[in-house]
Amino acid sequence: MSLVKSYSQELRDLQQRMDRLFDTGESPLWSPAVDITENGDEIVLQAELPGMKKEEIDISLSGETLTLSGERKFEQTQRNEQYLRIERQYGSWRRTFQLEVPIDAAAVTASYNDGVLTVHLPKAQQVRPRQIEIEVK
Amino acid sequence: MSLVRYTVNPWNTLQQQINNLFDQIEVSPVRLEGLSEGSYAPPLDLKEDADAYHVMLEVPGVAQEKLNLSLQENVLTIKGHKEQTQRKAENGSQRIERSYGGFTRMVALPQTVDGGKVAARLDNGILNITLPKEERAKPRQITIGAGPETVEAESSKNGSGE
Repeated sequence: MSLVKSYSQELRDLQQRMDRLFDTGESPLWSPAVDITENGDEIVLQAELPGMKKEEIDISLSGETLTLSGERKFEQTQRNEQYLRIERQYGSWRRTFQLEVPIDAAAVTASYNDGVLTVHLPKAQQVRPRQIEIEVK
Repeated sequence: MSLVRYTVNPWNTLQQQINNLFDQIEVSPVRLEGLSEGSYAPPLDLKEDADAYHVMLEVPGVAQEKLNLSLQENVLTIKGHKEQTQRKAENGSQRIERSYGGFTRMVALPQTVDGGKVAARLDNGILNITLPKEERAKPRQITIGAGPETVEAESSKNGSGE
Protein backbone atom coordinates (compact mmCIF):
# COMPACT_ATOMS: atom_id res chain seq x y z
CA MET A 1 0.00 0.00 0.00
CA SER A 2 1.27 3.43 -0.88
CA LEU A 3 -0.59 5.49 1.72
CA VAL A 4 1.66 4.49 4.58
CA LYS A 5 2.29 7.20 7.13
CA SER A 6 5.66 7.86 8.67
CA TYR A 7 6.33 6.54 12.14
CA SER A 8 6.41 9.98 13.74
CA GLN A 9 3.13 10.94 12.08
CA GLU A 10 1.57 7.71 13.30
CA LEU A 11 2.73 8.42 16.84
CA ARG A 12 1.47 11.98 16.71
CA ASP A 13 -1.91 10.73 15.50
CA LEU A 14 -1.95 8.21 18.32
CA GLN A 15 -1.18 10.90 20.85
CA GLN A 16 -3.92 13.11 19.50
CA ARG A 17 -6.40 10.30 19.70
CA MET A 18 -5.34 9.50 23.25
CA ASP A 19 -5.67 13.18 24.15
CA ARG A 20 -9.15 13.14 22.75
CA LEU A 21 -10.01 10.02 24.72
CA PHE A 22 -8.76 11.43 27.97
CA ASP A 23 -9.83 14.94 27.11
CA THR A 24 -6.65 16.54 28.43
CA GLY A 25 -6.99 19.39 26.00
CA GLU A 26 -3.22 19.75 25.97
CA SER A 27 -2.69 19.26 22.26
CA PRO A 28 -2.92 22.55 20.38
CA LEU A 29 -3.82 20.74 17.19
CA TRP A 30 -6.94 18.99 16.17
CA SER A 31 -6.79 16.36 13.57
CA PRO A 32 -9.67 16.22 11.11
CA ALA A 33 -10.80 12.75 10.12
CA VAL A 34 -9.77 11.81 6.59
CA ASP A 35 -10.81 8.99 4.26
CA ILE A 36 -8.51 8.10 1.39
CA THR A 37 -9.40 5.74 -1.42
CA GLU A 38 -6.94 4.66 -4.07
CA ASN A 39 -8.20 3.32 -7.34
CA GLY A 40 -6.51 2.55 -10.62
CA ASP A 41 -6.66 6.08 -11.99
CA GLU A 42 -6.80 8.34 -8.98
CA ILE A 43 -6.58 8.87 -5.26
CA VAL A 44 -9.62 10.48 -3.64
CA LEU A 45 -9.34 12.17 -0.26
CA GLN A 46 -12.24 13.33 1.88
CA ALA A 47 -11.69 15.38 5.02
CA GLU A 48 -14.29 16.39 7.59
CA LEU A 49 -13.97 20.14 8.15
CA PRO A 50 -17.35 21.31 9.38
CA GLY A 51 -17.77 25.00 10.05
CA MET A 52 -14.87 26.17 7.90
CA LYS A 53 -14.86 28.47 4.94
CA LYS A 54 -13.43 27.42 1.60
CA GLU A 55 -10.85 30.22 1.81
CA GLU A 56 -9.58 28.98 5.17
CA ILE A 57 -8.49 25.61 3.82
CA ASP A 58 -5.03 25.25 2.31
CA ILE A 59 -4.11 22.39 -0.01
CA SER A 60 -0.60 21.93 -1.33
CA LEU A 61 1.01 19.19 -3.34
CA SER A 62 4.78 18.95 -3.42
CA GLY A 63 5.97 15.99 -5.41
CA GLU A 64 4.10 13.11 -3.83
CA THR A 65 3.45 14.87 -0.54
CA LEU A 66 0.01 16.30 0.01
CA THR A 67 -0.50 18.76 2.86
CA LEU A 68 -3.84 20.04 4.10
CA SER A 69 -3.93 22.80 6.67
CA GLY A 70 -6.11 25.53 8.05
CA GLU A 71 -7.45 27.18 11.13
CA ARG A 72 -10.89 27.07 12.64
CA LYS A 73 -11.40 30.12 14.79
CA PHE A 74 -13.45 30.15 17.92
CA GLU A 75 -16.16 32.75 17.52
CA GLN A 76 -16.85 34.74 20.62
CA THR A 77 -19.29 37.12 19.04
CA GLN A 78 -21.32 38.89 21.67
CA ARG A 79 -20.66 39.94 25.20
CA ASN A 80 -23.94 38.65 26.58
CA GLU A 81 -23.26 35.16 25.28
CA GLN A 82 -22.13 32.37 27.50
CA TYR A 83 -20.88 28.95 26.46
CA LEU A 84 -22.37 26.13 28.51
CA ARG A 85 -20.61 23.35 26.66
CA ILE A 86 -17.71 23.21 24.20
CA GLU A 87 -17.00 19.84 22.64
CA ARG A 88 -15.88 21.01 19.22
CA GLN A 89 -12.19 21.58 18.62
CA TYR A 90 -10.75 24.84 17.41
CA GLY A 91 -7.40 26.14 16.28
CA SER A 92 -4.83 25.26 13.65
CA TRP A 93 -4.60 21.89 12.08
CA ARG A 94 -2.33 20.26 9.55
CA ARG A 95 -2.27 16.85 7.96
CA THR A 96 0.39 15.48 5.65
CA PHE A 97 0.13 12.43 3.44
CA GLN A 98 2.86 10.63 1.53
CA LEU A 99 1.01 9.46 -1.55
CA GLU A 100 4.04 7.62 -2.98
CA VAL A 101 2.46 7.69 -6.41
CA PRO A 102 3.26 10.35 -9.04
CA ILE A 103 0.29 12.70 -9.37
CA ASP A 104 -0.78 14.73 -12.38
CA ALA A 105 -0.59 17.98 -10.40
CA ALA A 106 -2.29 20.09 -13.08
CA ALA A 107 -5.38 17.88 -12.98
CA VAL A 108 -5.94 17.93 -9.21
CA THR A 109 -9.38 19.24 -8.25
CA ALA A 110 -10.93 20.06 -4.89
CA SER A 111 -14.41 20.90 -3.69
CA TYR A 112 -15.98 21.74 -0.33
CA ASN A 113 -19.57 20.73 0.35
CA ASP A 114 -21.56 20.27 3.56
CA GLY A 115 -18.40 20.55 5.63
CA VAL A 116 -16.54 17.88 3.67
CA LEU A 117 -13.46 18.64 1.57
CA THR A 118 -13.02 16.30 -1.38
CA VAL A 119 -9.72 16.24 -3.30
CA HIS A 120 -9.33 14.27 -6.50
CA LEU A 121 -5.71 13.42 -7.29
CA PRO A 122 -5.37 11.80 -10.71
CA LYS A 123 -2.33 9.57 -11.04
CA ALA A 124 0.32 10.51 -13.56
CA GLN A 125 -0.24 8.84 -16.91
CA GLN A 126 2.78 6.51 -16.66
CA VAL A 127 1.59 4.82 -13.45
CA ARG A 128 -2.02 4.19 -14.44
CA PRO A 129 -2.83 0.56 -14.97
CA ARG A 130 -3.22 -0.49 -18.56
CA GLN A 131 -5.19 -3.41 -19.77
CA ILE A 132 -3.00 -5.82 -21.68
CA GLU A 133 -4.66 -8.26 -23.98
CA ILE A 134 -3.25 -11.73 -24.06
CA GLU A 135 -3.45 -13.20 -27.47
CA VAL A 136 -4.59 -16.78 -27.64
CA LYS A 137 -2.82 -18.67 -30.32
CA MET B 1 18.76 -20.14 38.74
CA SER B 2 15.92 -21.48 36.69
CA LEU B 3 12.97 -20.68 38.93
CA VAL B 4 12.02 -17.50 37.13
CA ARG B 5 8.58 -16.30 38.02
CA TYR B 6 6.16 -16.10 35.19
CA THR B 7 5.08 -12.55 34.70
CA VAL B 8 2.77 -11.06 32.15
CA ASN B 9 4.65 -8.89 29.72
CA PRO B 10 3.32 -5.41 30.51
CA TRP B 11 3.89 -4.24 26.95
CA ASN B 12 1.64 -6.96 25.58
CA THR B 13 -1.03 -6.03 28.09
CA LEU B 14 -0.75 -2.37 27.19
CA GLN B 15 -0.90 -3.18 23.51
CA GLN B 16 -3.98 -5.30 24.07
CA GLN B 17 -5.65 -2.50 25.98
CA ILE B 18 -4.82 0.01 23.30
CA ASN B 19 -6.10 -2.41 20.68
CA ASN B 20 -9.32 -2.73 22.61
CA LEU B 21 -9.66 1.04 22.72
CA PHE B 22 -9.12 1.34 19.01
CA ASP B 23 -11.49 -1.54 18.34
CA GLN B 24 -14.17 0.38 20.16
CA ILE B 25 -13.45 3.55 18.24
CA GLU B 26 -12.67 2.30 14.78
CA VAL B 27 -14.52 -0.94 14.31
CA SER B 28 -17.80 -0.44 16.08
CA PRO B 29 -19.04 2.43 13.87
CA VAL B 30 -19.03 0.09 10.91
CA ARG B 31 -20.27 -2.95 12.74
CA LEU B 32 -23.07 -1.14 14.50
CA GLU B 33 -24.18 0.72 11.40
CA GLY B 34 -27.94 0.88 11.21
CA LEU B 35 -28.58 0.48 14.91
CA SER B 36 -30.99 3.12 16.11
CA GLU B 37 -28.97 4.17 19.12
CA GLY B 38 -26.05 5.15 16.95
CA SER B 39 -22.42 4.30 17.06
CA TYR B 40 -20.67 7.63 17.39
CA ALA B 41 -21.38 10.96 18.97
CA PRO B 42 -20.71 14.05 16.86
CA PRO B 43 -19.41 16.94 19.00
CA LEU B 44 -21.58 19.93 19.81
CA ASP B 45 -21.28 23.35 21.42
CA LEU B 46 -24.04 24.88 23.50
CA LYS B 47 -24.29 28.58 24.22
CA GLU B 48 -26.82 30.81 25.84
CA ASP B 49 -27.82 34.44 25.47
CA ALA B 50 -30.61 36.43 27.06
CA ASP B 51 -33.30 35.12 24.73
CA ALA B 52 -32.28 31.67 23.53
CA TYR B 53 -30.06 28.62 23.63
CA HIS B 54 -27.95 27.83 20.59
CA VAL B 55 -26.76 24.33 19.72
CA MET B 56 -24.06 23.83 17.07
CA LEU B 57 -23.64 20.20 16.07
CA GLU B 58 -20.99 18.93 13.66
CA VAL B 59 -22.63 16.89 10.91
CA PRO B 60 -20.19 16.98 7.97
CA GLY B 61 -21.51 15.07 4.97
CA VAL B 62 -24.94 14.47 6.47
CA ALA B 63 -27.85 15.33 4.19
CA GLN B 64 -30.57 17.58 5.58
CA GLU B 65 -33.25 14.94 5.06
CA LYS B 66 -31.23 12.50 7.17
CA LEU B 67 -31.50 14.73 10.24
CA ASN B 68 -34.33 14.56 12.72
CA LEU B 69 -34.95 16.94 15.62
CA SER B 70 -37.34 16.47 18.49
CA LEU B 71 -38.00 18.29 21.73
CA GLN B 72 -39.56 16.82 24.82
CA GLU B 73 -39.79 19.02 27.88
CA ASN B 74 -36.33 20.55 27.99
CA VAL B 75 -34.52 17.70 26.25
CA LEU B 76 -33.48 18.19 22.65
CA THR B 77 -32.84 15.00 20.68
CA ILE B 78 -30.98 15.06 17.38
CA LYS B 79 -30.88 11.92 15.29
CA GLY B 80 -29.12 11.52 12.01
CA HIS B 81 -27.51 9.15 9.59
CA LYS B 82 -24.28 9.65 7.66
CA GLU B 83 -24.02 7.73 4.41
CA GLN B 84 -20.69 6.56 3.07
CA THR B 85 -20.66 8.13 -0.39
CA GLN B 86 -17.12 7.19 -1.33
CA ARG B 87 -17.16 3.95 -3.27
CA LYS B 88 -14.92 1.18 -2.08
CA ALA B 89 -11.45 0.85 -3.56
CA GLU B 90 -11.54 -1.55 -6.47
CA ASN B 91 -8.13 -3.07 -6.11
CA GLY B 92 -6.26 -0.24 -4.47
CA SER B 93 -6.03 0.65 -0.84
CA GLN B 94 -8.19 2.58 1.55
CA ARG B 95 -7.95 4.48 4.81
CA ILE B 96 -11.13 5.17 6.74
CA GLU B 97 -11.04 7.59 9.68
CA ARG B 98 -14.50 9.10 9.33
CA SER B 99 -17.41 7.59 11.24
CA TYR B 100 -20.52 6.53 9.40
CA GLY B 101 -23.96 5.32 10.28
CA GLY B 102 -26.60 6.48 12.69
CA PHE B 103 -26.13 8.71 15.70
CA THR B 104 -28.25 10.16 18.47
CA ARG B 105 -27.38 13.14 20.62
CA MET B 106 -29.49 14.39 23.50
CA VAL B 107 -29.05 17.75 25.17
CA ALA B 108 -30.78 18.67 28.38
CA LEU B 109 -31.34 22.41 28.39
CA PRO B 110 -31.21 24.24 31.71
CA GLN B 111 -34.70 25.70 31.12
CA THR B 112 -37.74 24.78 29.09
CA VAL B 113 -37.87 26.41 25.68
CA ASP B 114 -40.65 27.48 23.36
CA GLY B 115 -40.99 24.37 21.20
CA GLY B 116 -43.03 26.19 18.57
CA LYS B 117 -40.25 28.67 17.86
CA VAL B 118 -37.28 26.34 17.50
CA ALA B 119 -35.37 27.01 14.28
CA ALA B 120 -32.64 24.92 12.64
CA ARG B 121 -30.27 25.64 9.79
CA LEU B 122 -27.60 23.50 8.14
CA ASP B 123 -24.50 25.48 7.23
CA ASN B 124 -21.18 24.02 6.02
CA GLY B 125 -21.68 20.79 7.93
CA ILE B 126 -22.82 22.52 11.12
CA LEU B 127 -26.40 22.13 12.30
CA ASN B 128 -27.32 25.40 14.03
CA ILE B 129 -30.34 25.12 16.28
CA THR B 130 -31.86 28.14 18.00
CA LEU B 131 -34.18 27.42 20.92
CA PRO B 132 -35.92 30.55 22.26
CA LYS B 133 -36.46 30.58 25.99
CA GLU B 134 -40.01 30.29 27.18
CA GLU B 135 -41.61 33.17 29.07
CA ARG B 136 -43.04 30.72 31.59
CA ALA B 137 -39.61 29.27 32.27
CA LYS B 138 -38.38 32.50 33.77
CA PRO B 139 -38.18 32.54 37.56
CA ARG B 140 -41.45 33.19 39.34
CA GLN B 141 -42.90 33.11 42.81
CA ILE B 142 -44.67 29.96 43.96
CA THR B 143 -47.10 30.07 46.86
CA ILE B 144 -47.54 27.09 49.12
CA GLY B 145 -51.13 25.83 49.32
CA ALA B 146 -53.06 25.82 52.63
CA GLY B 147 -54.36 22.27 53.04
CA PRO B 148 -54.08 18.81 51.43
CA GLU B 149 -56.50 18.01 48.62
CA THR B 150 -58.63 14.90 48.73
CA VAL B 151 -57.68 11.84 46.69
CA GLU B 152 -60.81 12.18 44.55
CA ALA B 153 -60.13 15.76 43.66
CA GLU B 154 -56.54 14.87 42.74
CA SER B 155 -57.47 12.05 40.36
CA SER B 156 -60.22 13.99 38.61
CA LYS B 157 -57.80 16.85 38.16
CA ASN B 158 -55.25 14.53 36.52
CA GLY B 159 -57.91 13.04 34.29
CA SER B 160 -59.10 16.35 32.97
CA GLY B 161 -55.57 17.54 32.44
CA GLU B 162 -54.76 14.87 29.85
